[in-house]
Amino acid sequence: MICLDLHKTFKTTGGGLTLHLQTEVPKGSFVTLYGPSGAGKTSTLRMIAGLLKPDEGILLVEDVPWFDSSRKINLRVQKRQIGYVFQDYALFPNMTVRENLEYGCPEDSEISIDELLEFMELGQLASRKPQTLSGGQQQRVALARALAQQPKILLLDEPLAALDYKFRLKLQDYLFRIHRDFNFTTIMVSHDIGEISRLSDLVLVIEEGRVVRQGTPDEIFGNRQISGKFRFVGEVQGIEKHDIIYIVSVLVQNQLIKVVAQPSEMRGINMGDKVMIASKAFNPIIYKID
Amino acid sequence: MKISDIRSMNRLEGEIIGIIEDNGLSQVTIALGVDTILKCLVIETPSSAAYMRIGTKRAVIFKETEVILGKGNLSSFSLQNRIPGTIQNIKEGKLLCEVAVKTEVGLIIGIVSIESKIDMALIKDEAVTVMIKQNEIMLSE
Repeated sequence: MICLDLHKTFKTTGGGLTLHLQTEVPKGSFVTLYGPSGAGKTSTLRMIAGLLKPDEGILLVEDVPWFDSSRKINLRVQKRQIGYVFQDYALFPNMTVRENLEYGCPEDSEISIDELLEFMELGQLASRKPQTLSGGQQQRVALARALAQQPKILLLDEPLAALDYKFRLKLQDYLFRIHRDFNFTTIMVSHDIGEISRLSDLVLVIEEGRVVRQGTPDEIFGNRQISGKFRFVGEVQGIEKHDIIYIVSVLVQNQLIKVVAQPSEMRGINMGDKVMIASKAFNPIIYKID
Repeated sequence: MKISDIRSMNRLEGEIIGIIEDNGLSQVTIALGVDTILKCLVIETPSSAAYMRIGTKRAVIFKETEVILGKGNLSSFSLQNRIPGTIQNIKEGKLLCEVAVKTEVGLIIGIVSIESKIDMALIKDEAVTVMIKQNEIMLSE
């Protein structure tokens, strides 16, 4: 169990943000922090990692205090057993893939670099430098480097946001395998509802520095509120008025689909909005494609 | 936004009064008013979904474009879900028209082609029957 009760006030020119996060994360779970930009999600990861000092509060990881302001405990980053993966990979450009992994690997590591290279399917790239790799390959190296540290907590800050759709799906598979096969808690920041639904056990919705809701992805994103089995989350790409109806183009993953909607249905829905599309499972036809 | 906030689609409140299940598929009967029941097919069973219980309040929702309107003698028809009403309003477009039907259980909107409207001579205040296939109805909170 990870117990968090952390306070931090940020002063900015436009006012400020008071972060007060109080929550418990079960050991071994995959948790996603979801919410608008500037709500305090990345700051939360940084406080867990020890990169940002809370004003006060407590952070207990499996009953071990990593931070406790009342007892003046503040474990250094290196002592915290975390793996941290950023959106921009943050690899050492002058080192090969293998050297990047070795840098992060403790001497008494139970897992060898070769095993990690094999697990992340990086064996053939081991002697390459990061700039010669694709974005997806670089992020796999960053994940492998985080795993090399044998973390208790894996922190992922929008790790797949910079990747195109194909790589994102592939990397999601890796994240799923990593979380399943290594026994640690994963805390991810993501805005991608499809990704969140696929990977997370628990979603914490953070707004203005507080957890305003929490639940399973189904509970948070409303997947169970309607019995239709044909459900997708997508983003509105086009709204065309035809006659007395609208034809709405929605990007669902990498497919652009069209939905007929009533004017009343479209009230409050604008371009770029995230929407849920639901239909009965009886309507679609299915056929094999070569 | 919660599903219950959605103003779209035809949404009618009711109570589950019957469930017949068969291999993961259920036919749910919902009482909407004194004389109105609707049946719907869902891929859920009482063991897979907690709300699938007799006595549970549930809304039925169905898309306006799935509504079928009938007039006159409808005795031989493979559609069991039938709600009688009167046309309250018709909004016409070029190809389609939106027909608002006042029923015992509330206003139901149907979208039919202009050609159907002309063929059937649909006009305001006329008695019609709203029909909807069982497999077009979704259940919602």
